[in-house]
Amino acid sequence: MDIWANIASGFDVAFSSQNLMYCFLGVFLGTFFGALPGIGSLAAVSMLLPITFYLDPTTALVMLGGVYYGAEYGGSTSSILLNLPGTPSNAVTCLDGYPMTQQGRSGVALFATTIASFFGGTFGILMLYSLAPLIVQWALQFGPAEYFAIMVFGLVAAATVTQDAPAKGLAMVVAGMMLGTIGADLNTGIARFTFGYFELHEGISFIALAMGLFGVSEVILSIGHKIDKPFIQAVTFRSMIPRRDEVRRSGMPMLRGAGLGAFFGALPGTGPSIATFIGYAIEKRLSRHPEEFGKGAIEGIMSPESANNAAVQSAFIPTMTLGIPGSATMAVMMGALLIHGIQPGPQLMQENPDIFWGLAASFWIGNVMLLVLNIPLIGVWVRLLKIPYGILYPAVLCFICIGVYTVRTSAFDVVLVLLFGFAGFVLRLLRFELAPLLIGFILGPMVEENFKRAMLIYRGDFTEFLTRPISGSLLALTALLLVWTTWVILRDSRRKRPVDHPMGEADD
Amino acid sequence: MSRMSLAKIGLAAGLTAAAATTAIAQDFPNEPVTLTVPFSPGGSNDIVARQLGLQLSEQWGQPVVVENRPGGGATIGSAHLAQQDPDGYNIMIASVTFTMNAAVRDDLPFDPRADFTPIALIGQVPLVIGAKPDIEATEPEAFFDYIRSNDDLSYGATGVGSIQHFAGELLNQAVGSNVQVVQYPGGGPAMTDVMGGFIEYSIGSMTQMLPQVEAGNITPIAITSLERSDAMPDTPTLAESGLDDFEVIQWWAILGPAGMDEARVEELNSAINEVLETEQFAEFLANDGGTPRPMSAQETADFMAMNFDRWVEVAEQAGMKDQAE
Repeated sequence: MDIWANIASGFDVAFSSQNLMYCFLGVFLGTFFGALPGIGSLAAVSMLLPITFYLDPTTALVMLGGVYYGAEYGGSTSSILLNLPGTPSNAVTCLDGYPMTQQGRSGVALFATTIASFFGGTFGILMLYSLAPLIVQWALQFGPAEYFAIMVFGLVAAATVTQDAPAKGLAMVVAGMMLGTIGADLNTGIARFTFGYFELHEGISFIALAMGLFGVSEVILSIGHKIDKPFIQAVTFRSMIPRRDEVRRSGMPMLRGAGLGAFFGALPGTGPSIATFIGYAIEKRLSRHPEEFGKGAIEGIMSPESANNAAVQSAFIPTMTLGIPGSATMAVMMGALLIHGIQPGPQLMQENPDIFWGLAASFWIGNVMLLVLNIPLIGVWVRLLKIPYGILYPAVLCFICIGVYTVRTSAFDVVLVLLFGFAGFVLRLLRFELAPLLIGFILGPMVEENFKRAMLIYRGDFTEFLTRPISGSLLALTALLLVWTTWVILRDSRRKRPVDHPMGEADD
Repeated sequence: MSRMSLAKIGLAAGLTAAAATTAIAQDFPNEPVTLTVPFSPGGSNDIVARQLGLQLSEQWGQPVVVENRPGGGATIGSAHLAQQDPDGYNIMIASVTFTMNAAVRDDLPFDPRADFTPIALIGQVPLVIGAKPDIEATEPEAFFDYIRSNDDLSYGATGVGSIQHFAGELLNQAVGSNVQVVQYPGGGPAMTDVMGGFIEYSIGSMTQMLPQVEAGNITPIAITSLERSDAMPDTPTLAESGLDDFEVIQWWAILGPAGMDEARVEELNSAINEVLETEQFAEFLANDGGTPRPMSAQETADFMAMNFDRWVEVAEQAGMKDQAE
């Protein structure tokens, strides 16, 4: 069949010594930058873009692509070991990854997330290979009303990331949505809540918000606090093997995470962070041990890590088949092709098949490299914990500032990240959870924007949301989810009250 | 307000610095030149700037550093340039939106006319009216009738005062139609909603439209330059379809801070025009349907002044600023 010939020729391109070398360089730098808290794929790709002008276009994208997905592998490392997300899409991994480190099981967590990352990445590449044209046709069915419905679904689903105080979680979601309104309004051009700062015209930098709340606040928490150093185990290969029940509990979350990731990755404008949050929320919903979440549940790291890796791979689908980049990082990578006079778009597969198939093949090779690279590295990473915090944390702070600055070359954002750090510190002292705030921040503006757009197009007719098949069914699903959640809360509270068991540990 | 005065102080400081170094070395440039791009890497301004920078550095034997200073709808990068030394070592790429912004925003921290020195025009690319794939009215005249006689249609643009918005409102005025504008964060998302049939059309740059048109995802109705484009020779112009003189084009120019030495401006202008005349640069622009458009410094200044005036007029007629209030 034709497709096999294409795949074979793709591997031919990918296996050229030059492409292999740059692929390795890319994934190596990606893992490295990803593991440095604060420097995510956008910063890393932007920094490396100028180098690629001197490379052959395929090689350029092989390398930048490697950096992009490599960062997702590396990003979980600092989430798990230090409670500092390497990139924003690894923020959820902190919730259960760090508790595992505190229990002396960091080796297991790192090993498991490497597997999940590889699984998710492979899943995303398979989608890219087999269904790219189909997925694009289907993604085009998503208009403003459909985007609105799916974002509302995401908000409702994600509202349950909160552990035990729903009101506090809700407050954080709302706070996030309010922060999201800052910036010039698209429809009127009016600057909202910018207080005269032009730096706020395009809104608060997501990276500054995420790294401030999760990263800087962690550093501040450590000041004057004698953090109990997590027990550092000798990392033998044996100690990395998860318990048998954990292996059993990992399969489905990994698969669901990959599916969600591939879905959101392919939908322009969404992306890996949304996929991880929703994936986490869904796992918590479906789990028979929801009380374990936040205390080191393996599902809580498998799903998001599988999701973000699937998402970064499937994010290439709209970029390469439509020529429409789904995220800022993708836009930078598209620029790398454009500078060589190659217009990514519907013609790419016909006019430059070597680029399309070569890239897809190289991505998978890169994922294998990452797998091989990351497992031996686990021992090295874990030993990082031995670095005295007095040295490690100032260094972390520097990396965060560099990463935040690079994304928009804005010193203003560096001040913002520090402000958000203090805000995060205070919120954590008050036992507010920060993940819902990020979700509100990402989804809130998308809800608003798509709602307004739909209302303009349909001239204010609300029934369009319900009568359009995709948005109608999504909203129905959301309603079901709401009813179910309410029912579960009522049931639990009724059960809990007579027993008067504050922890609500209902072990059956 | 305070930002405004800060910019002025910076400008004054720049002017005195320039006066102090009137003895300009003969061999310009003898150190790296910084080319500011007031947008993120990867956009059309960035790509054009990088190609120009590459060829200028070959010509000069001096590096041209492309510096992205995105933010505030290009205000941050522009305000930055306005405060630099007007010594020729600090230049910036600006596009047609630079003159359009001035017509719809009154919060700019600089005076777009007075705080800059026009140096050279680079080139231009027409816009394309790209309609949804299943539209029945594919001929311009039928299309005009269609949008005139239906009052529930929408078109996509990329923000208040964007080139797409100006082109859309101009079309409404010329045709006598009342198509509703719907704003998107970028040309890409606007095109996807056209491809999905959610909105009727968007008037986007040929660079972005061309691959979608070739794939049949978007139906080209007409282009907005006065002459047909080699990249889409079968697509008529609006001017030849009954809308006399209808012209909206995307162009790029190179600007410096105000108060540049005239001789320095001439040096830069001829260096840039030399690049524009190369086969390499023409091919680079032609890839996306664009053409080089060499002009003298004075012609560039006149061209920009004409643009400033025109967009103020269009914005007033279409009530574009009222929307923002």
